Amino acid sequence: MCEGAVLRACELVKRFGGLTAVDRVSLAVESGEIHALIGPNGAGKTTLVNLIAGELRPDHGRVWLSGREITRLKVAKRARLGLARSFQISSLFGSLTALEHVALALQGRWGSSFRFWGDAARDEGLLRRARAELARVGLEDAADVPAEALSHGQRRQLELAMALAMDPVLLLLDEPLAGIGLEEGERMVELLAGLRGRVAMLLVEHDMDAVFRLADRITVLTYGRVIASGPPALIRDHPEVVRAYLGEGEASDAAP
Amino acid sequence: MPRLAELGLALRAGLLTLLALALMLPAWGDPYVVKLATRILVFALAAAALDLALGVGGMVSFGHAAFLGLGAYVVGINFLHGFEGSLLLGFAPTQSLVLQLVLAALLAGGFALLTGAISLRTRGVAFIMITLAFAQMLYYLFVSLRRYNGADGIALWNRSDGGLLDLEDPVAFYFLCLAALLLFLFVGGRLYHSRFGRALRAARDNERRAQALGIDTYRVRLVAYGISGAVTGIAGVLLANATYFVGPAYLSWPVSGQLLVMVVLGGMGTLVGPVFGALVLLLLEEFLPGLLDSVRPGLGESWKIVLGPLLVAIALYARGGLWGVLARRRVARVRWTGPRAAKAPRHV
Ligand SMILES: Nc1ncnc2c1ncn2[C@@H]1O[C@H](COP(=O)(O)OP(=O)(O)O)[C@@H](O)[C@H]1O
Ligand SMILES: [Mg+2]
Repeated sequence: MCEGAVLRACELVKRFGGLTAVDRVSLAVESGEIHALIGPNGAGKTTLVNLIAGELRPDHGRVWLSGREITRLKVAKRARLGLARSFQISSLFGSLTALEHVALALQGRWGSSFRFWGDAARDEGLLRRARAELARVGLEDAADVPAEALSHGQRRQLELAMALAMDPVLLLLDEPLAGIGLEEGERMVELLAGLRGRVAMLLVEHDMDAVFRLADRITVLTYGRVIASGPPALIRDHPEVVRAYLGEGEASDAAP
Repeated sequence: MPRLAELGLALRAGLLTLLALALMLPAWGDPYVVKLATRILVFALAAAALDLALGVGGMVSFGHAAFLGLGAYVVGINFLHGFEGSLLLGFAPTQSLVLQLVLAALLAGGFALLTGAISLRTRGVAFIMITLAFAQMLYYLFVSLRRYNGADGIALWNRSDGGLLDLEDPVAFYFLCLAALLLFLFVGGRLYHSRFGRALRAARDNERRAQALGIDTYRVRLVAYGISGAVTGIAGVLLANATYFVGPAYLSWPVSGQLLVMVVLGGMGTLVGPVFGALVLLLLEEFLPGLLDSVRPGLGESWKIVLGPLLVAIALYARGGLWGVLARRRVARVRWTGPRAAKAPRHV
């Protein structure tokens, strides 16, 4: 029951002391599908992402990536298997430029960090690919700007560029639209929409407009539990979801 | 470590002058000066090697004396067996400098990998204490090794066999140490800017993020620690030859502390900075007592009381160490990205 699909999480449980942040959650992401994970603050979305990425160990349950069990693998190993993520709060290396960030992602994914001699800043193979990845998210003009000098929206784009540079089997995005402006948000949504069908994605997002535009399937989490899962049309009208999360007014607003 | 091309013109000229001075120093002809300069070069090599772990890799090792001492004992033990005409673990002892350097690098590097594999599972203060504990363990081992004169150590009657190079010639030996230091600065620079160096700095700056990119931060750190230990072992071989002596004091914690001070004083994470740290610290240790005595006779005895606060002051005022002060111009290069970016040094 737990094999197949790009990602399959089975009966995951994570407790913090007396609090069960993730409570017997099972979900699957099929190839090329955008699977949105929604739920109110504190529902356990980030915890679930961390269980899948390997930063937290589940108290119970198992995780599979492309049919291979990864429950016990370390974060870096999972990343080299093609599990790429962005963080809810941008997490970058302040003094590195945008281009250097993407180059770092490339060498991490390729497992080529044990090259001791060649100058990485003059490594044309690495740079050409890194520039192409930056261009993919529209950041080519900011290639030589240190990450700390980028705007908030640009940092989000950079996070995405790094994740995409890893040629991901599965993209784990934790609130990629959080805190960015309307225009930059629109751009990000278009970017993500352009990836549909090509990259399997687990997308945690609060912006319901974006979720309903992007998602092929939506899973709703409250208090660590899945209360509904299915295609957007089904979720929008699911009574328990409307009550627990969307609220009457918002539900109709969210309809495109 | 900065790229040469990124340094200001004045600084580049200054470095070149310093190199020229180092090359001409033996022509001065004072054997005392050559001896002191040799000692500075050896400690500069050890400090730069420590910086690879400490500054570039973010691993605060308080046990690098162990690697220095191991390298020194490679010379001492081989000398003793050679002198007695006895075998060393069933092998004929070697006086060859090249072989001793290789042995020291393998032994110190191996010890670094072994102890690093354990200590790198911890962080922060725990890491400092564990590296200290491993070094002290080795210190007590050598103190209690009667076979090798215990606490008395081994006095060397002659230096290692340098083949074509006559190491007994102080000038030849001085140039050997200078070459070793310059070679490591070059190799260290390559390492710093390589993919490995980038991964190492990424692990230092944001470990969690580096791991999410697929970088095995534990292994990257461990390898850097091993290299750092191996090079410090090489410095140990030179130290034994420089002083004609090997003793457990080389492995003791004050030596580890001294190396740490050199790195912090010179500028962490720059590899060149610690060279200046070694230069200034050893010159102060050498001349501060006399200087104080000339101010007021008898004051020289309490030079350590002056040195301590002086080091604290430098650490506080020059946060990037001496190198940070020298290379301040460098920052102007990225000013265009705005004031926030200009404050932080770029690491690539
Ligand atoms: N490391 C932690 N230790 C203790 N409690 C935590 C930890 N991480 C998250 N929690 C708690 O688990 C619950 C789920 O948090 P989180 O997964 O961040 O929710 P979401 O991302 O859906 O907003 C919250 O109640 C939060 O306070
Ligand atoms: Mg969250």
